[in-house]
Amino acid sequence: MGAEEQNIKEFKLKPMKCELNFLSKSDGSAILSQGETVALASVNGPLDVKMQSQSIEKSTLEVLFCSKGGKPSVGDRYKENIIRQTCETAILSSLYPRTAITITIQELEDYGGFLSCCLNTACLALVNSGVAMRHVFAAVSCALDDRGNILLEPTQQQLETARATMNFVFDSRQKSLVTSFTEGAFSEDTYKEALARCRSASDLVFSFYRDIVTKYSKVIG
Amino acid sequence: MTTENTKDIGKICIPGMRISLLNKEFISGPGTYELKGYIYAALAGILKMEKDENTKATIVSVESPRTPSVLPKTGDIITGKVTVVNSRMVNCIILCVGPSVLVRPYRAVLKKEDIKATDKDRIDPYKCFRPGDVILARVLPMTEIHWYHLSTAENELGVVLATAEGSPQGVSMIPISWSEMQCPKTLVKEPRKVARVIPENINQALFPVDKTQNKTEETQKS
Repeated sequence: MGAEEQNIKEFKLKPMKCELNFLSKSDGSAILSQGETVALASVNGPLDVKMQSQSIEKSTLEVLFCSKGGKPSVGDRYKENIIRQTCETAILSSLYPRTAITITIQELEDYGGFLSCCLNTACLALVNSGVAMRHVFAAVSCALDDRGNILLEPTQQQLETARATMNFVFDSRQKSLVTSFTEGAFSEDTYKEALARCRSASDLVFSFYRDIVTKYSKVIG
Repeated sequence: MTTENTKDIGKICIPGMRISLLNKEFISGPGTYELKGYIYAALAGILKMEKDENTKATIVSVESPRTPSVLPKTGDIITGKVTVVNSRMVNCIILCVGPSVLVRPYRAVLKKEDIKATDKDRIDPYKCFRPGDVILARVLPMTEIHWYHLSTAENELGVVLATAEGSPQGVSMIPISWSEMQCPKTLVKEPRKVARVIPENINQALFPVDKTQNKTEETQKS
Protein backbone atom coordinates (compact mmCIF):
# COMPACT_ATOMS: atom_id res chain seq x y z
CA MET A 1 0.00 0.00 0.00
CA GLY A 2 2.85 2.37 0.87
CA ALA A 3 4.53 1.72 -2.48
CA GLU A 4 1.27 2.46 -4.30
CA GLU A 5 0.89 5.78 -2.47
CA GLN A 6 4.46 6.66 -3.36
CA ASN A 7 3.75 5.91 -7.03
CA ILE A 8 0.72 8.17 -6.96
CA LYS A 9 2.73 11.05 -5.52
CA GLU A 10 5.58 10.69 -8.00
CA PHE A 11 4.18 12.48 -11.02
CA LYS A 12 4.83 15.55 -13.07
CA LEU A 13 2.45 17.51 -15.26
CA LYS A 14 3.41 19.47 -18.35
CA PRO A 15 4.73 22.93 -17.49
CA MET A 16 1.82 25.39 -17.41
CA LYS A 17 2.01 29.03 -18.44
CA CYS A 18 -0.92 31.41 -18.41
CA GLU A 19 -1.84 35.01 -19.11
CA LEU A 20 -5.13 36.54 -18.01
CA ASN A 21 -6.76 39.60 -19.64
CA PHE A 22 -5.21 38.55 -22.93
CA LEU A 23 -8.06 40.14 -24.94
CA SER A 24 -8.98 43.74 -24.24
CA LYS A 25 -12.61 43.78 -25.39
CA SER A 26 -13.95 40.68 -23.62
CA ASP A 27 -15.17 40.51 -20.00
CA GLY A 28 -12.64 37.83 -19.18
CA SER A 29 -9.98 36.01 -21.17
CA ALA A 30 -7.09 33.64 -20.65
CA ILE A 31 -4.40 32.01 -22.76
CA LEU A 32 -2.96 28.81 -21.34
CA SER A 33 -0.17 26.55 -22.51
CA GLN A 34 0.23 23.05 -21.10
CA GLY A 35 3.53 21.93 -22.55
CA GLU A 36 3.24 22.70 -26.25
CA THR A 37 -0.57 22.60 -26.29
CA VAL A 38 -2.03 26.12 -26.31
CA ALA A 39 -5.64 27.34 -26.06
CA LEU A 40 -7.22 30.78 -25.82
CA ALA A 41 -10.59 31.36 -24.11
CA SER A 42 -12.80 34.42 -23.97
CA VAL A 43 -15.85 34.96 -21.73
CA ASN A 44 -18.58 37.53 -22.38
CA GLY A 45 -21.54 37.99 -20.12
CA PRO A 46 -23.99 38.18 -18.55
CA LEU A 47 -25.55 39.73 -21.66
CA ASP A 48 -29.00 40.15 -23.18
CA VAL A 49 -30.15 36.96 -24.88
CA LYS A 50 -32.45 35.95 -27.73
CA MET A 51 -36.01 35.11 -26.78
CA GLN A 52 -35.90 31.45 -27.80
CA SER A 53 -32.86 30.59 -25.68
CA GLN A 54 -33.87 32.59 -22.60
CA SER A 55 -34.34 30.85 -19.25
CA ILE A 56 -36.46 32.52 -16.58
CA GLU A 57 -34.57 31.20 -13.55
CA LYS A 58 -30.95 30.94 -14.69
CA SER A 59 -28.46 32.13 -17.26
CA THR A 60 -27.92 30.33 -20.55
CA LEU A 61 -24.37 29.16 -21.19
CA GLU A 62 -23.18 29.13 -24.79
CA VAL A 63 -19.85 27.60 -25.81
CA LEU A 64 -18.26 28.19 -29.19
CA PHE A 65 -15.18 26.21 -30.17
CA CYS A 66 -13.02 27.36 -33.08
CA SER A 67 -10.54 24.86 -34.45
CA LYS A 68 -7.26 25.79 -36.08
CA GLY A 69 -8.57 24.97 -39.55
CA GLY A 70 -11.66 27.09 -39.02
CA LYS A 71 -14.13 24.56 -40.42
CA PRO A 72 -16.63 23.29 -37.83
CA SER A 73 -16.83 19.52 -37.39
CA VAL A 74 -18.69 16.94 -35.29
CA GLY A 75 -15.64 16.67 -33.01
CA ASP A 76 -15.86 20.39 -32.32
CA ARG A 77 -19.54 20.08 -31.32
CA TYR A 78 -18.55 17.23 -28.98
CA LYS A 79 -15.88 19.42 -27.36
CA GLU A 80 -18.37 22.30 -27.02
CA ASN A 81 -20.86 20.00 -25.32
CA ILE A 82 -18.32 18.70 -22.79
CA ILE A 83 -17.04 22.20 -21.97
CA ARG A 84 -20.58 23.58 -21.64
CA GLN A 85 -21.76 20.81 -19.32
CA THR A 86 -18.63 21.10 -17.18
CA CYS A 87 -18.86 24.90 -16.89
CA GLU A 88 -22.59 24.72 -16.07
CA THR A 89 -21.77 22.76 -12.92
CA ALA A 90 -19.36 25.48 -11.77
CA ILE A 91 -21.23 28.71 -12.59
CA LEU A 92 -23.82 30.08 -10.14
CA SER A 93 -26.20 30.65 -13.04
CA SER A 94 -29.24 31.38 -10.82
CA LEU A 95 -27.68 34.77 -10.00
CA TYR A 96 -28.02 35.85 -13.64
CA PRO A 97 -31.55 34.96 -14.80
CA ARG A 98 -32.67 35.74 -18.37
CA THR A 99 -29.11 36.37 -19.56
CA ALA A 100 -26.45 34.54 -21.54
CA ILE A 101 -22.81 33.82 -20.78
CA THR A 102 -20.73 33.07 -23.86
CA ILE A 103 -17.44 31.18 -23.79
CA THR A 104 -15.39 31.19 -26.99
CA ILE A 105 -12.38 28.88 -27.23
CA GLN A 106 -9.77 29.11 -29.96
CA GLU A 107 -7.37 26.27 -30.67
CA LEU A 108 -3.82 27.54 -31.14
CA GLU A 109 -1.61 24.43 -30.84
CA ASP A 110 -2.58 20.80 -30.26
CA TYR A 111 0.22 18.50 -29.10
CA GLY A 112 -1.84 16.15 -26.95
CA GLY A 113 -4.20 16.69 -24.00
CA PHE A 114 -6.00 19.47 -25.83
CA LEU A 115 -9.47 18.97 -24.32
CA SER A 116 -8.15 19.20 -20.75
CA CYS A 117 -6.19 22.31 -21.76
CA CYS A 118 -9.41 23.86 -23.15
CA LEU A 119 -11.30 23.13 -19.93
CA ASN A 120 -8.57 24.66 -17.77
CA THR A 121 -8.40 27.72 -20.03
CA ALA A 122 -12.19 28.14 -19.86
CA CYS A 123 -12.04 27.93 -16.07
CA LEU A 124 -9.35 30.61 -15.86
CA ALA A 125 -11.29 32.86 -18.25
CA LEU A 126 -14.42 32.49 -16.09
CA VAL A 127 -12.42 33.34 -12.96
CA ASN A 128 -11.02 36.39 -14.76
CA SER A 129 -14.46 37.55 -15.94
CA GLY A 130 -15.86 37.98 -12.42
CA VAL A 131 -18.74 35.54 -12.95
CA ALA A 132 -19.82 33.98 -9.63
CA MET A 133 -18.79 30.32 -9.42
CA ARG A 134 -19.46 27.47 -7.00
CA HIS A 135 -15.93 26.17 -7.46
CA VAL A 136 -13.08 26.09 -9.93
CA PHE A 137 -12.33 22.87 -11.79
CA ALA A 138 -9.17 21.19 -13.02
CA ALA A 139 -8.94 18.83 -15.98
CA VAL A 140 -6.22 16.18 -16.11
CA SER A 141 -5.68 13.73 -18.97
CA CYS A 142 -3.90 10.40 -18.95
CA ALA A 143 -3.21 7.55 -21.37
CA LEU A 144 -2.76 3.80 -21.08
CA ASP A 145 0.20 2.50 -23.10
CA ASP A 146 0.72 -1.00 -24.61
CA ARG A 147 2.35 -2.30 -21.42
CA GLY A 148 -0.55 -1.10 -19.28
CA ASN A 149 1.31 1.83 -17.72
CA ILE A 150 -0.62 5.01 -16.93
CA LEU A 151 0.94 8.13 -18.45
CA LEU A 152 -0.17 11.48 -17.04
CA GLU A 153 -0.49 14.35 -19.54
CA PRO A 154 0.60 12.28 -22.56
CA THR A 155 2.33 13.81 -25.58
CA GLN A 156 1.11 13.50 -29.17
CA GLN A 157 3.43 10.52 -29.83
CA GLN A 158 2.28 8.71 -26.70
CA LEU A 159 -1.37 9.28 -27.64
CA GLU A 160 -0.86 7.76 -31.09
CA THR A 161 0.36 4.48 -29.61
CA ALA A 162 -1.92 4.53 -26.54
CA ARG A 163 -4.40 1.73 -25.90
CA ALA A 164 -6.83 4.08 -24.14
CA THR A 165 -7.11 7.74 -23.15
CA MET A 166 -8.92 9.12 -20.11
CA ASN A 167 -9.82 12.67 -19.15
CA PHE A 168 -11.03 13.65 -15.70
CA VAL A 169 -12.33 16.95 -14.33
CA PHE A 170 -12.34 17.58 -10.57
CA ASP A 171 -13.86 20.38 -8.51
CA SER A 172 -11.81 22.39 -6.02
CA ARG A 173 -14.21 22.01 -3.11
CA GLN A 174 -14.15 18.28 -2.39
CA LYS A 175 -12.05 16.95 -5.28
CA SER A 176 -15.16 15.15 -6.50
CA LEU A 177 -15.34 14.01 -10.12
CA VAL A 178 -17.27 16.48 -12.28
CA THR A 179 -16.67 15.10 -15.78
CA SER A 180 -15.09 11.96 -17.14
CA PHE A 181 -14.64 11.03 -20.80
CA THR A 182 -12.69 8.03 -22.04
CA GLU A 183 -11.68 6.29 -25.26
CA GLY A 184 -10.42 2.74 -25.76
CA ALA A 185 -10.52 -0.47 -23.72
CA PHE A 186 -9.34 -0.80 -20.11
CA SER A 187 -10.15 -2.69 -16.92
CA GLU A 188 -12.06 -1.30 -13.94
CA ASP A 189 -8.95 -1.42 -11.74
CA THR A 190 -6.98 0.55 -14.31
CA TYR A 191 -9.74 3.17 -14.40
CA LYS A 192 -9.71 3.48 -10.60
CA GLU A 193 -5.93 3.80 -10.52
CA ALA A 194 -5.98 6.44 -13.27
CA LEU A 195 -8.72 8.31 -11.38
CA ALA A 196 -6.67 8.30 -8.16
CA ARG A 197 -3.54 9.53 -9.94
CA CYS A 198 -5.38 12.28 -11.79
CA ARG A 199 -7.12 13.37 -8.59
CA SER A 200 -3.73 13.75 -6.92
CA ALA A 201 -2.37 15.56 -9.97
CA SER A 202 -5.28 18.03 -9.90
CA ASP A 203 -3.69 19.54 -6.75
CA LEU A 204 -0.92 20.93 -8.95
CA VAL A 205 -3.49 22.56 -11.26
CA PHE A 206 -5.38 24.12 -8.34
CA SER A 207 -2.18 25.49 -6.82
CA PHE A 208 -1.31 26.90 -10.27
CA TYR A 209 -4.73 28.64 -10.35
CA ARG A 210 -4.07 30.13 -6.92
CA ASP A 211 -0.67 31.42 -8.01
CA ILE A 212 -2.13 32.98 -11.16
CA VAL A 213 -4.98 34.69 -9.28
CA THR A 214 -2.51 35.97 -6.66
CA LYS A 215 -0.24 37.29 -9.40
CA TYR A 216 -3.09 39.08 -11.19
CA SER A 217 -5.05 40.17 -8.10
CA LYS A 218 -3.68 43.71 -8.32
CA VAL A 219 -4.15 44.08 -12.07
CA ILE A 220 -7.29 42.10 -12.97
CA GLY A 221 -9.47 45.22 -13.11
CA MET B 1 -9.77 21.85 0.28
CA THR B 2 -8.42 22.58 3.73
CA THR B 3 -10.34 24.99 5.91
CA GLU B 4 -8.83 28.43 5.46
CA ASN B 5 -7.84 30.54 8.47
CA THR B 6 -10.40 33.31 8.82
CA LYS B 7 -7.91 35.69 10.45
CA ASP B 8 -6.04 36.16 7.17
CA ILE B 9 -7.93 39.23 6.04
CA GLY B 10 -6.74 40.62 2.73
CA LYS B 11 -5.69 37.23 1.41
CA ILE B 12 -6.54 36.04 -2.08
CA CYS B 13 -9.55 33.76 -2.57
CA ILE B 14 -10.56 31.66 -5.54
CA PRO B 15 -14.10 30.32 -6.15
CA GLY B 16 -14.92 27.27 -4.04
CA MET B 17 -12.43 28.12 -1.30
CA ARG B 18 -13.84 27.48 2.17
CA ILE B 19 -13.57 30.69 4.17
CA SER B 20 -15.22 30.07 7.53
CA LEU B 21 -18.02 28.42 9.47
CA LEU B 22 -21.53 29.77 9.04
CA ASN B 23 -22.89 30.71 12.46
CA LYS B 24 -24.02 33.71 14.51
CA GLU B 25 -20.52 35.16 14.41
CA PHE B 26 -19.97 34.94 10.65
CA ILE B 27 -22.49 35.96 7.97
CA SER B 28 -21.92 35.54 4.24
CA GLY B 29 -21.72 38.80 2.32
CA PRO B 30 -21.26 39.71 -1.36
CA GLY B 31 -18.95 37.45 -3.35
CA THR B 32 -19.66 34.44 -1.13
CA TYR B 33 -22.26 31.69 -0.76
CA GLU B 34 -23.41 29.31 1.96
CA LEU B 35 -23.28 25.52 1.76
CA LYS B 36 -23.64 22.86 4.47
CA GLY B 37 -22.75 25.16 7.35
CA TYR B 38 -19.76 26.81 5.70
CA ILE B 39 -19.10 30.03 3.81
CA TYR B 40 -17.39 29.61 0.44
CA ALA B 41 -15.92 32.16 -1.96
CA ALA B 42 -17.84 32.70 -5.22
CA LEU B 43 -15.41 35.15 -6.81
CA ALA B 44 -11.67 35.45 -7.27
CA GLY B 45 -10.54 38.38 -5.18
CA ILE B 46 -9.51 39.69 -1.79
CA LEU B 47 -11.13 38.49 1.44
CA LYS B 48 -12.78 41.24 3.50
CA MET B 49 -14.27 40.92 6.98
CA GLU B 50 -16.40 43.71 8.44
CA LYS B 51 -18.10 43.94 11.81
CA ASP B 52 -21.83 44.67 11.66
CA GLU B 53 -22.60 47.14 14.46
CA ASN B 54 -26.26 46.13 14.78
CA THR B 55 -25.93 42.34 14.94
CA LYS B 56 -22.29 42.34 16.16
CA ALA B 57 -21.55 39.63 13.59
CA THR B 58 -18.71 39.58 11.07
CA ILE B 59 -19.76 39.94 7.43
CA VAL B 60 -17.49 37.81 5.26
CA SER B 61 -17.18 39.07 1.69
CA VAL B 62 -14.88 38.69 -1.30
CA GLU B 63 -14.03 41.87 -3.17
CA SER B 64 -13.30 41.17 -6.81
CA PRO B 65 -11.16 43.55 -8.87
CA ARG B 66 -13.64 42.88 -11.67
CA THR B 67 -16.93 44.67 -11.02
CA PRO B 68 -19.60 42.00 -10.54
CA SER B 69 -22.38 42.17 -13.10
CA VAL B 70 -25.44 44.01 -11.81
CA LEU B 71 -28.89 42.87 -12.95
CA PRO B 72 -32.08 44.93 -12.54
CA LYS B 73 -34.21 43.59 -9.68
CA THR B 74 -37.83 44.31 -8.78
CA GLY B 75 -38.06 47.73 -7.13
CA ASP B 76 -34.76 49.08 -8.46
CA ILE B 77 -34.62 52.59 -9.91
CA ILE B 78 -33.06 52.46 -13.36
CA THR B 79 -31.83 55.00 -15.87
CA GLY B 80 -32.90 54.15 -19.39
CA LYS B 81 -33.13 55.49 -22.90
CA VAL B 82 -36.33 55.42 -24.96
CA THR B 83 -35.90 53.64 -28.29
CA VAL B 84 -39.44 53.11 -29.68
CA VAL B 85 -42.75 54.76 -28.81
CA ASN B 86 -46.09 53.39 -29.98
CA SER B 87 -49.72 53.72 -28.89
CA ARG B 88 -49.60 50.78 -26.44
CA MET B 89 -46.10 50.83 -24.97
CA VAL B 90 -42.68 52.44 -24.86
CA ASN B 91 -39.59 50.35 -25.57
CA CYS B 92 -36.40 51.30 -23.72
CA ILE B 93 -32.92 50.09 -22.98
CA ILE B 94 -31.67 50.01 -19.38
CA LEU B 95 -28.32 51.80 -19.05
CA CYS B 96 -27.86 52.09 -15.27
CA VAL B 97 -29.22 50.30 -12.22
CA GLY B 98 -29.13 52.68 -9.28
CA PRO B 99 -25.65 54.23 -9.17
CA SER B 100 -23.90 51.48 -11.17
CA VAL B 101 -23.51 51.74 -14.93
CA LEU B 102 -24.15 48.54 -16.87
CA VAL B 103 -21.51 47.18 -19.21
CA ARG B 104 -24.26 46.17 -21.63
CA PRO B 105 -27.81 47.49 -21.95
CA TYR B 106 -30.89 45.36 -21.24
CA ARG B 107 -34.20 45.63 -23.08
CA ALA B 108 -37.23 46.87 -21.17
CA VAL B 109 -40.82 47.85 -21.85
CA LEU B 110 -42.96 50.57 -20.28
CA LYS B 111 -46.66 49.85 -20.75
CA LYS B 112 -49.23 52.59 -21.29
CA GLU B 113 -50.96 51.85 -17.95
CA ASP B 114 -47.70 52.23 -16.01
CA ILE B 115 -46.75 55.69 -17.31
CA LYS B 116 -48.84 57.74 -14.84
CA ALA B 117 -50.60 57.01 -11.58
CA THR B 118 -53.76 58.92 -12.62
CA ASP B 119 -55.89 59.06 -15.81
CA LYS B 120 -54.56 55.72 -17.01
CA ASP B 121 -57.20 55.44 -19.75
CA ARG B 122 -56.48 58.80 -21.36
CA ILE B 123 -52.68 58.59 -21.49
CA ASP B 124 -51.04 59.11 -24.87
CA PRO B 125 -47.48 57.70 -24.83
CA TYR B 126 -46.48 60.15 -27.60
CA LYS B 127 -47.21 63.04 -25.23
CA CYS B 128 -45.08 61.52 -22.48
CA PHE B 129 -41.96 60.16 -24.18
CA ARG B 130 -40.03 60.49 -27.43
CA PRO B 131 -37.21 58.30 -28.78
CA GLY B 132 -33.87 59.41 -27.37
CA ASP B 133 -35.24 60.62 -24.02
CA VAL B 134 -33.30 59.65 -20.91
CA ILE B 135 -35.72 58.47 -18.24
CA LEU B 136 -35.82 57.34 -14.63
CA ALA B 137 -38.11 54.36 -13.97
CA ARG B 138 -38.79 51.64 -11.44
CA VAL B 139 -38.53 47.92 -12.25
CA LEU B 140 -41.84 46.10 -11.81
CA PRO B 141 -42.31 42.42 -10.92
CA MET B 142 -41.92 40.14 -13.92
CA THR B 143 -44.97 39.14 -15.94
CA GLU B 144 -43.24 38.17 -19.18
CA ILE B 145 -40.00 36.28 -19.63
CA HIS B 146 -38.43 38.34 -22.36
CA TRP B 147 -38.63 41.92 -21.08
CA TYR B 148 -38.05 43.91 -17.95
CA HIS B 149 -41.22 45.82 -17.07
CA LEU B 150 -40.89 49.43 -15.97
CA SER B 151 -43.12 52.03 -14.33
CA THR B 152 -42.93 55.82 -14.16
CA ALA B 153 -46.08 56.24 -12.04
CA GLU B 154 -44.36 58.42 -9.42
CA ASN B 155 -43.51 62.12 -9.27
CA GLU B 156 -39.78 61.39 -9.08
CA LEU B 157 -39.87 59.18 -12.19
CA GLY B 158 -40.14 60.15 -15.84
CA VAL B 159 -38.11 62.11 -18.39
CA VAL B 160 -34.87 63.61 -17.08
CA LEU B 161 -33.05 64.62 -20.27
CA ALA B 162 -34.72 65.36 -23.59
CA THR B 163 -33.92 67.31 -26.73
CA ALA B 164 -36.58 69.18 -28.70
CA GLU B 165 -37.24 68.14 -32.29
CA GLY B 166 -35.76 71.17 -34.05
CA SER B 167 -33.11 71.95 -31.45
CA PRO B 168 -29.38 71.45 -31.99
CA GLN B 169 -27.98 68.24 -30.53
CA GLY B 170 -26.72 68.53 -26.97
CA VAL B 171 -29.15 71.25 -25.90
CA SER B 172 -31.41 69.70 -23.26
CA MET B 173 -34.88 71.02 -22.56
CA ILE B 174 -35.83 72.53 -19.22
CA PRO B 175 -38.98 71.37 -17.39
CA ILE B 176 -41.58 74.12 -17.03
CA SER B 177 -44.40 72.00 -15.59
CA TRP B 178 -45.26 68.38 -14.76
CA SER B 179 -46.21 67.74 -18.37
CA GLU B 180 -44.11 70.17 -20.43
CA MET B 181 -40.49 70.92 -21.26
CA GLN B 182 -39.03 73.88 -23.13
CA CYS B 183 -35.88 74.27 -25.18
CA PRO B 184 -33.79 77.20 -23.87
CA LYS B 185 -32.50 78.07 -27.37
CA THR B 186 -35.49 77.69 -29.70
CA LEU B 187 -38.12 78.15 -26.93
CA VAL B 188 -40.09 75.22 -28.39
CA LYS B 189 -42.43 73.56 -25.88
CA GLU B 190 -42.98 69.81 -26.00
CA PRO B 191 -45.18 67.52 -23.89
CA ARG B 192 -43.34 65.07 -21.60
CA LYS B 193 -43.96 63.11 -18.41
CA VAL B 194 -41.43 65.11 -16.40
CA ALA B 195 -39.53 63.62 -13.46
CA ARG B 196 -39.03 65.77 -10.38
CA VAL B 197 -35.29 65.30 -9.96
CA ILE B 198 -34.10 66.17 -6.47
CA PRO B 199 -30.65 67.79 -6.72
CA GLU B 200 -27.84 66.26 -4.67
CA ASN B 201 -26.97 69.57 -2.99
CA ILE B 202 -30.58 70.20 -1.87
CA ASN B 203 -29.60 70.48 1.80
CA GLN B 204 -26.97 73.12 1.06
CA ALA B 205 -29.49 75.09 -1.02
CA LEU B 206 -32.21 74.99 1.65
CA PHE B 207 -29.92 75.44 4.66
CA PRO B 208 -26.89 77.47 3.58
CA VAL B 209 -24.00 77.35 6.02
CA ASP B 210 -22.39 80.73 6.66
CA LYS B 211 -18.67 80.17 7.26
CA THR B 212 -18.11 83.55 8.94
CA GLN B 213 -20.92 82.84 11.41
CA ASN B 214 -19.34 79.49 12.28
CA LYS B 215 -15.99 81.17 12.93
CA THR B 216 -17.49 83.75 15.29
CA GLU B 217 -19.28 80.98 17.21
CA GLU B 218 -16.02 79.08 17.58
CA THR B 219 -14.17 82.14 18.88
CA GLN B 220 -16.95 82.82 21.39
CA LYS B 221 -16.74 79.24 22.67
CA SER B 222 -12.98 79.44 23.09
